[in-house]
Amino acid sequence: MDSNNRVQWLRSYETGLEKSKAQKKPMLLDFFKDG
Amino acid sequence: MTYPDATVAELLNTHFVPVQLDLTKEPKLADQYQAIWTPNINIVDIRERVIYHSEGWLSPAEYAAMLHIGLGHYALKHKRFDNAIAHFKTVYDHYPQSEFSPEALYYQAVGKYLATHEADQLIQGWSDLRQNYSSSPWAMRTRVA
Repeated sequence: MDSNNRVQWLRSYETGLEKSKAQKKPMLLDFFKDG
Repeated sequence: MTYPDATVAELLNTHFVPVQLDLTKEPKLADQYQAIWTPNINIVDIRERVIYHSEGWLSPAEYAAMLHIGLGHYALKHKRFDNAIAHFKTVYDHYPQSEFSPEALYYQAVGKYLATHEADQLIQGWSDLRQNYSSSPWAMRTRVA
């Protein structure tokens, strides 16, 4: 997989919310389930 | 796979703060967002309000179209009508066969109306929708009495 194709996922909701407020961008919250 | 797709990754990295959480390890957040099924995508504003929601697998093209729909709704709710119209236009310009194209035409017309308060903008846009996607549920929603 090309590194340019990688999504820069955060794994912390709180960090995502803080970053969303700071950058004035919506958060894309993706719930997944392993297995 | 959807996420390694270059267009999807660029859209996510450029326009969103992407957060990925394991449903089974985040029961409080799963409850807050009423997430019981995956994939479960929520476009969330800074006040933690869900602007757009999607469940189930999408191909890369459908996923990209869904992201533009979400950005369009986000801009619409912030009264950035030109930006909203541009995102909705992108959907049917780039993904005319997408399941999201009729919704894009519907809300593009709404955006034009909200921006100008000219009824002709709404009537023309919805007419185009009925002409191009006559069997879509979104076309049915334009049939006002």
